[in-house]
Amino acid sequence: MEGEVYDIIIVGSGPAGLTAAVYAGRYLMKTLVIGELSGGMISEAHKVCNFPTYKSISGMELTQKMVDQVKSLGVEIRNERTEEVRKNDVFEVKTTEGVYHGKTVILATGTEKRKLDIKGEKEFLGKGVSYCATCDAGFFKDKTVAIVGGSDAALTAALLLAEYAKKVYIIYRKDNFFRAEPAWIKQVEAEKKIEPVFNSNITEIKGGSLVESIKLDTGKELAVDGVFVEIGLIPITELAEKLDIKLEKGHIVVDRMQRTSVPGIFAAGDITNNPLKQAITAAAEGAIAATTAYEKIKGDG
Amino acid sequence: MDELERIRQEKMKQFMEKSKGDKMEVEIEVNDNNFEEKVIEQSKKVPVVVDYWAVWCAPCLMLGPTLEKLAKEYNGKFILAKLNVDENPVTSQKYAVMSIPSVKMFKDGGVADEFVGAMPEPMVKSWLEKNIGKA
Repeated sequence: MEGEVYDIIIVGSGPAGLTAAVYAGRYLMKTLVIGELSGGMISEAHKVCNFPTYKSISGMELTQKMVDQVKSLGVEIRNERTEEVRKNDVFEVKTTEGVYHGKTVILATGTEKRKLDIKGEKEFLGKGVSYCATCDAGFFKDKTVAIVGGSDAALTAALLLAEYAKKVYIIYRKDNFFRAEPAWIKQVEAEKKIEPVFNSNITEIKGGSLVESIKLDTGKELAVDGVFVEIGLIPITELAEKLDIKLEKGHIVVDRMQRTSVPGIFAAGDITNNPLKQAITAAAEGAIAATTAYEKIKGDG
Repeated sequence: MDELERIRQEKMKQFMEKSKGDKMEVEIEVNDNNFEEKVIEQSKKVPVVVDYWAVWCAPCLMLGPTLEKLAKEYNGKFILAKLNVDENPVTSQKYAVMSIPSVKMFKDGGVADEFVGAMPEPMVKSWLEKNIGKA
């Protein structure tokens, strides 16, 4: 076998993967982190106010601090896309750039954003339709926008957009925001530019060369310049599926030590079937996964 | 013999230095003021790929290094032009950029193709191949 064998290969570089890397690094395990986007979903968060040590910090800054900490421990982070994990004598992790070998693997691949799957969504991507409020809010100065969704992510996107746009609709299928954190709901209610539109689903995005309006299933049509989609997250489980790892409702089943159904493979973060999907719980799962992997390596000698 | 070897190495070094100087810049930074010259005019000679980005955009920071790497591999078959949308609102608005990362391929003074959002390297590569062939 060419090349070196890592003790732990972590696939995914969000809070779960990066925290696993901090622990693995401090256990002096030979560790590699492979991730497409450092920070993952949290890197796009406008503000993070529930991750202890910072009252309020941007997702990008929080990510940078995590990455710095990982690197200070001598752990390597490779920005590559993992295509397959195979089980042989050791695990083979195949990326777009090469193949890496590891005694154990921690899957922390997280989630991707759910699409609306309606007419106009694809056609107007980049022409008013966006999946990243922190990236694109600045383009909507003095304009009217709609946020679709009622989660924390949707409400924070609305609050950010209210700093630029003149009017922000939140289109939500339920009749209240009870799913979101009350602290965000309070802020949204206090913001005069924001107008929630409850009991409504978006059915079509219309326009000419750019977005001009959206149609709702209530029959209403609203004139908007932008549509921000925040309707939830889908776990990225391709790698797990190829390994025949047991899933439950699309998430990887883990025990309290973050073990999956395949020995030597652990999972952490939003990809697991744990009940809370937050940066802090993802980080905690990463810490446990790294610890369990370390114990296994020690035990195996 | 040692003397000859030393002269040979010296010549080689000079040659390397010179060819480095001749080498075309494959990646440039552009702004509202020089966009016309560096992108529009230059694209009449060689394709120019404009990367519209900003520091607060996490996916842009992911796509940037991929484009930079491919620009080096293509070694002058296209020029990568980085445009910071935050500092250059005029050009961003003119080309109706409303979502970043946004990447546009300029040929013969106009937009020939474009994509929005970060894509993994193999997809960016096939986009380049479709538009300008292999590296």
